[in-house]
Amino acid sequence: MQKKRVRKSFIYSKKVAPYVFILPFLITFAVFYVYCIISMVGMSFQNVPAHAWVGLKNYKIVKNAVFIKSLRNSIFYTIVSCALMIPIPLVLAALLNSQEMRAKTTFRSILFIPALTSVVVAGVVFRLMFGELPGSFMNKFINIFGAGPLVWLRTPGTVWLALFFICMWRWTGVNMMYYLAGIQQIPSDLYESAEVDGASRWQQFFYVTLPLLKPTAIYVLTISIFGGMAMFSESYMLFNGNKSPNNVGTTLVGFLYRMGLEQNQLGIGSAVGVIFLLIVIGINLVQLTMNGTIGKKKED
Amino acid sequence: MKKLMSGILVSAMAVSTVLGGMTAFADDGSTQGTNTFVDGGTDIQFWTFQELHVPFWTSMADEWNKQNPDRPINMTVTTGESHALQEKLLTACAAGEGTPDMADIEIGYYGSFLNGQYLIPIDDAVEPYKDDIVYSRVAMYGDGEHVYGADFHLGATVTYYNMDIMNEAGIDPATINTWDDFHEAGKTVLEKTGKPMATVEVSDLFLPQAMLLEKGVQYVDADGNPNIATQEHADVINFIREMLADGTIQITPGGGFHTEEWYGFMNGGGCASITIPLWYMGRFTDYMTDLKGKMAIYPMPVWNDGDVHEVLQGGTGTSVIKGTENEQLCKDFLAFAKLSKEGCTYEWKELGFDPIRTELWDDPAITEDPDNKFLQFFTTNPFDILKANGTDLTAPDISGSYSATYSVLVSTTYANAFENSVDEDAMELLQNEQDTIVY
Repeated sequence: MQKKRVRKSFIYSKKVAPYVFILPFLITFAVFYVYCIISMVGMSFQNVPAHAWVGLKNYKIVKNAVFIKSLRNSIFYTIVSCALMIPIPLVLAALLNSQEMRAKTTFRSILFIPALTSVVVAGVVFRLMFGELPGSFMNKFINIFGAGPLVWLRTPGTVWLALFFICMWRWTGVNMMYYLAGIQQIPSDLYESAEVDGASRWQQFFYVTLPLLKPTAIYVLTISIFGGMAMFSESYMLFNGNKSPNNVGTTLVGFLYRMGLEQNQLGIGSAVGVIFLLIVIGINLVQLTMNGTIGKKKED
Repeated sequence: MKKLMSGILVSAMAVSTVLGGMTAFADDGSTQGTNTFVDGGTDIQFWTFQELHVPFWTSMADEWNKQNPDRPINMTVTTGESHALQEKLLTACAAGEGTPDMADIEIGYYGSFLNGQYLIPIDDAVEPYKDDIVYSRVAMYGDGEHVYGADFHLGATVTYYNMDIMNEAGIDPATINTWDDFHEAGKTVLEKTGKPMATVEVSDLFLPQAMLLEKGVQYVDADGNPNIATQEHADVINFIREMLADGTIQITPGGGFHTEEWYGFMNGGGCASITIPLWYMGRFTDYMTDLKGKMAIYPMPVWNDGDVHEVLQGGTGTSVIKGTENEQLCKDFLAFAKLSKEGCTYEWKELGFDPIRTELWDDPAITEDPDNKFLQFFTTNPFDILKANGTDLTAPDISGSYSATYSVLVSTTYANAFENSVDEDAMELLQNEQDTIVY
């Protein structure tokens, strides 16, 4: 009897219940991430597979020209993709939410479909679209404007164009959905009172929609930064393997993959991973502090 | 508490996104094949990155069971996307768990497996076949002391000429002996037809490696350290750069000889020649079918008149992986499948691989087979070249840092040398590239 009551009070306890609910996540997180991170930090000081301690030797990789190039590539990709992926989906979401917009559901589905497409399939299609022969889709397209055939996937400028094109194609719909959910949560009486006060559509957008979308925008920014820094599969698929000519599309994750998995230098790969983790956590701490998610005074 | 929780959740998200990037394309669509299982057969797990190899292994297992009823095997061959499969194999070997009994390993990856000491020496199993084969093709999968793998083919490098273009330019490829002759012929071809004599890859290394091997120089030194900053290598680069400058060589469309762009370009008669090993015949019969009856195979040019050096390139080493419970059986089967007459005949007939076993070069049933699709496709007989070259052939040294060196060569070195920094001094460029190799 006593036992049963304890169990009952445990299950119905307001304090315990939340932890029970998130327990499955925490267990997976502990097994597949925390454990891996600890062992990664350990391995970054070792010569793997011998598992001999080598001190900071693996971290000398920061002086490697390819490491620096891939870090630069990752940062550049993150900055530009954020600059594209924050405002454009926002505008699209606002348009799709507008009452004058027709065929909303159709457009919403069209924009969301790429997120459900396999990267492998998309990569192959894009690789062929951006082919360098005069007959490839993109070369035919620019030919309409009189531009000559380009070697798309071997010159840095056009490689980035292709990568951002894939990025926009794939993620616009997802980010737009976040914004749409945010917009639809804004109470309509706010717009009504704005209208009574004589605010135009633009003013309503700037003074009602935008400020109230801040939490959504912060979330989208955060995942875009993660997504940008972690970019790998798009580049891997576009170049049919983890070897873009002259490393034009090699990202930090691509470099980590090359070191650890292709060349069996798991120690060096781990060191790159540790550096990478520190960079990503650093960027996010700065970003979350700046917009007040962390370090905000307790309000409740 | 709330803050702590949100902190944990934020970092959890950060971490899972970072790691999630690596698993985004885990669906490599692996498939399996088996031989005809027999009662009491030993289970052998085999991994290959090339789907075309699956029927080879299963039919060789059946053949083995026929000849060795006392030691039958039940073989399961698993295949999947090339890079993903070999990286999984490397990871499994490093972990020491989940490895197959045997596996095909592509030459670019082989060095990593040798360095990790994941393979079992097969010297004793190869010994009975040693005198019947071109041994350098087996010895290259070794460390000088032991050998660990055997190849599917000889992989002798030759030059394939598009005879429509050569005839239009009025040049007989038989008269091209040295690389200088090749360059001169290229000028005539370009002048008469407007087409390049050859193309050079920027994301692979067949032409420069072949030229370098002819000079007797390897990408790694005797101790296995990267050795790409050599005068000979600079000479090779300068020679190719000269041909690029006058238009007799172009950059390969698509960057390599295994891309859709290149197949289309060559198939459409875009270029007069390609210098690549004989196993490339299968690419012609599969992807460049319009060239049937137009292509001729000749020995590749040499640096100086009278040089007889022939080189071997590319390849796949099949090895027995440490941890297998059937070491001896795997070794014996491996040697049988790769080096026996039955195995080599299958490889030539079905896969178009030039046989590693020399007796087949003189067997009219093989060399004059009117039904063979490879012999039908080309206007000259590849066996004439094999016989002329003999068995003293230079194979690439894939030991030590080869995998790391290869990765740099095909991602940056040749792209810089031939496309991005064509004006940079070749020696300086090679030194800079060598400095980026992590070994």
